[in-house]
Amino acid sequence: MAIYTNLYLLVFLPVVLIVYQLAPKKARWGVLLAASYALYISFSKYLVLLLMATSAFTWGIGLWLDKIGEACKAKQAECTDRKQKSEVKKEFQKKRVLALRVGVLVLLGILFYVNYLNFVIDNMNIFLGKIGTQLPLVKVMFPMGISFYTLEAVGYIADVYWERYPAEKHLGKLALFLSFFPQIMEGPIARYPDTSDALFAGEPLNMANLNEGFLRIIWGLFKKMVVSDRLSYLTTHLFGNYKDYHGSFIVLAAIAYTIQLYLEFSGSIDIVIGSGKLFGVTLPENFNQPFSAQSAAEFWRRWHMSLGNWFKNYVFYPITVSPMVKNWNKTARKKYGKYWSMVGTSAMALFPVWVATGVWHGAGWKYLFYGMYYFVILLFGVAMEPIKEKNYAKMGLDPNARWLKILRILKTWVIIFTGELFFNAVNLKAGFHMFFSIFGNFHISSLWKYWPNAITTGDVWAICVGSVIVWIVGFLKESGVDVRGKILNARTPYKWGVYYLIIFAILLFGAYGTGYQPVDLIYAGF
Amino acid sequence: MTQDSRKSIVKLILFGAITLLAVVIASAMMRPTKWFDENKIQDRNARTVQMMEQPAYTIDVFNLGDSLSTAGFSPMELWREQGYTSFNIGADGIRMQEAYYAVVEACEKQKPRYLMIESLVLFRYAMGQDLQMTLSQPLYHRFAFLKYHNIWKSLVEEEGIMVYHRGYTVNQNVWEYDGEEDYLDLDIDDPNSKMSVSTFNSLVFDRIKAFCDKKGIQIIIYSMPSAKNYNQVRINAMESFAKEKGVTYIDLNGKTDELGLDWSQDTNDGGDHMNLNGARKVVRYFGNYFRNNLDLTDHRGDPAYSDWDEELVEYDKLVEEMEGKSFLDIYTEKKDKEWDEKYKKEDTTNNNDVKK
Repeated sequence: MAIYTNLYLLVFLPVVLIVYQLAPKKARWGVLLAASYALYISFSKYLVLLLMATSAFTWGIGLWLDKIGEACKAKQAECTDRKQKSEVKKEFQKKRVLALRVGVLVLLGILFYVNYLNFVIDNMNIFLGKIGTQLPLVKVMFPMGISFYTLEAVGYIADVYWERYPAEKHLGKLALFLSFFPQIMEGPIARYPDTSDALFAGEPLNMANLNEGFLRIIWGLFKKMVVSDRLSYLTTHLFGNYKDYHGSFIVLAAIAYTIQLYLEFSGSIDIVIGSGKLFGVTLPENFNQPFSAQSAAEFWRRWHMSLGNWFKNYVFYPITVSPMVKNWNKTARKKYGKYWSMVGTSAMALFPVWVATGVWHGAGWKYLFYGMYYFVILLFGVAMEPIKEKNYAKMGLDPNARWLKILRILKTWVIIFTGELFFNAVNLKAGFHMFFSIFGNFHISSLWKYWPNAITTGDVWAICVGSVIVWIVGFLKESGVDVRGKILNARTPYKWGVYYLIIFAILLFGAYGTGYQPVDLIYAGF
Repeated sequence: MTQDSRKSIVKLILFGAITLLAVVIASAMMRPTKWFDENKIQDRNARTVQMMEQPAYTIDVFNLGDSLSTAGFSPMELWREQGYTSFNIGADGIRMQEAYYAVVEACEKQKPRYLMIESLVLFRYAMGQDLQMTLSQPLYHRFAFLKYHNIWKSLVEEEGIMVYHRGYTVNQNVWEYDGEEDYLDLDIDDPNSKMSVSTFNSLVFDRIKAFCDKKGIQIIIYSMPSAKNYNQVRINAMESFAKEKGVTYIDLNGKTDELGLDWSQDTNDGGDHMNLNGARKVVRYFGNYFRNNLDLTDHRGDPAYSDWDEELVEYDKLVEEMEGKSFLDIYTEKKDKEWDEKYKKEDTTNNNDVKK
């Protein structure tokens, strides 16, 4: 039961809302947990047991870390001098590190087994085949949302280890945080303090939250059903038959897929955040007008923000402050100077982040390439920054000039479209084939002559008008206009007018109906 | 309950009521045959829109099922052979809930004597999808606005690619089936295909049967020849299902010799669907079966049915024009021709392009 289906929107969500409201305040978290597991079972059946086991395991590791901390404090209290205290701390720190390692390794081990083991075996078999042997592939069922809830669980254990907050004593509360039904499929990846209190508070439903949540949900549906799902006809056809196309069609495929992915992912996140809001739970935002970014680095601060923040908090920063990087910084500064020390430090911290970002999206060389593509671009950006500044000054250019901003945005678009071309290609080889075929025989007129029947004139109209509406709303938001706030604070007739406009636009122009195969959520597969 | 809560509930109810009213009004206005060019309406809507336009109480037989049924049964051929009127009310990938409403809607202006159901629809079942449909189909049935929402596309489309003749689209493509001749002994290599009728589909079938019993319509289940979709396990399952439900069952897979079916000529996609050759043989069989076993009237020569003769002329003309091509081939050729005429000069520089 995906979050964009009528079963979820017209049956599941209203029933949960009613039961939640009717339940006593203290039992409401239980209603949300039961609903979360019920939704999970509808996708992954008995694999809900893995989700439950992960929750119990994460909770146990948290308590273990807390217990070690308490034992350390108790023993330190018995110490008479500082040196003794420090020794006790060291002794207990080893135990804490052990608990952290056990927690992280088990969680990532399960993720590896489910997502990556067969990929590794497949690649090993290429070499083993040469000596006449093969490893058998493992039969694995994919537990929905494992990449999302595993990161949340690892983040929770790391935060407890770093004593950013105490471990949760209530298993149900932690289980609800990891399994909350709107976000289990596609995120956003939350940190424990972001949502735990609101999830557990059991606040009654109120009109303000219902309005905000409802508006967010229908806006998400508009993005997905009117634009993204219609674009998927075109992108599925072009990427699936890439050998038949080149030049302008490949450029079109890259642009169309980027728009499709953005509107699908941000649309479903709108539905997720809206669903959470109905219950008074504010989930973290995942997008902030990513196509207004003036660099690849800025793009990643605006796109899939919760994933970016997770890698920043749990990979990038820990590496930056690790002894290895600190030592390099010290040595390199003396040997090669400030500039190369900075570039080297960035490379050491960015490399694991982008390897992880790439493979997080899936087991495949194309995903690894996707990560490395951004690693190279971002590192190049870091390396060029001082040179760029000097050049601006030399040429007397104002870096904030509007035309320069537009040029930078356009350059970022080219980077994004190229990245998504590889991301959605059948495989890495196909990605390169598509990329190089852009430069052979590029004719805009081919678009008119060979326009595929996979997408009709009507679809093109719906996509164009829908995209322009989404772009206008994004532009206003980027310019500081709080469109959502204005609608929500408007008088009822105006507010309802907007609701009806969006609802009827979805009902009339949305891709749905008998015979229509709903498009699965792209990120739900990661 | 506080006053604020009461106010909120009233607002929610009012909002819902206005939404419902707006959908009801939009549904009343959404008369596809009145507002839209029916030649541009495509896919499953095309069949239902054409069905609405049939003169009342003129159809003898409804043919229901998925693409196997619509590809393998040409009502115009049955008219030519026996003078019986029929209509394909099925659709590609149809599921049982949609099938039920297809019968209900088709019977609004018609009272056929027989309903033929191609059996593959009874094997199609996936809990998630069928649950969704259980919810959506009654809504589509009640609210035309939801069912025909895509029909606005016909306002901006240049033209429709397909031409429908009483729910049939001509397909003369030949793609031989080169698999085992005794395909009924093989397994079906499709993880989603079921080998028995699910309880869910059986219940929906009961609903269709109850509706037909009430209307005096007799149901005949049949299995279209299809090397890709049938084996003996399915045929046996269908035989016992039909027996249990007390309806006639005809398996054409076991009668391919009687039909004179040639798997190198009569299928358009390697043994999955029939092409026009195959459809003619299937219709000939059913024509004889109807004449010998059912109580139907030959309407040929009846002025009330002259539109069938007129349409047969058009149908034959189309068959001749298509010369073994599909609608898509014809559409693409037409587009190429238009392009060449429009951009002849420009095109001469690019005519070596193999790729698009």
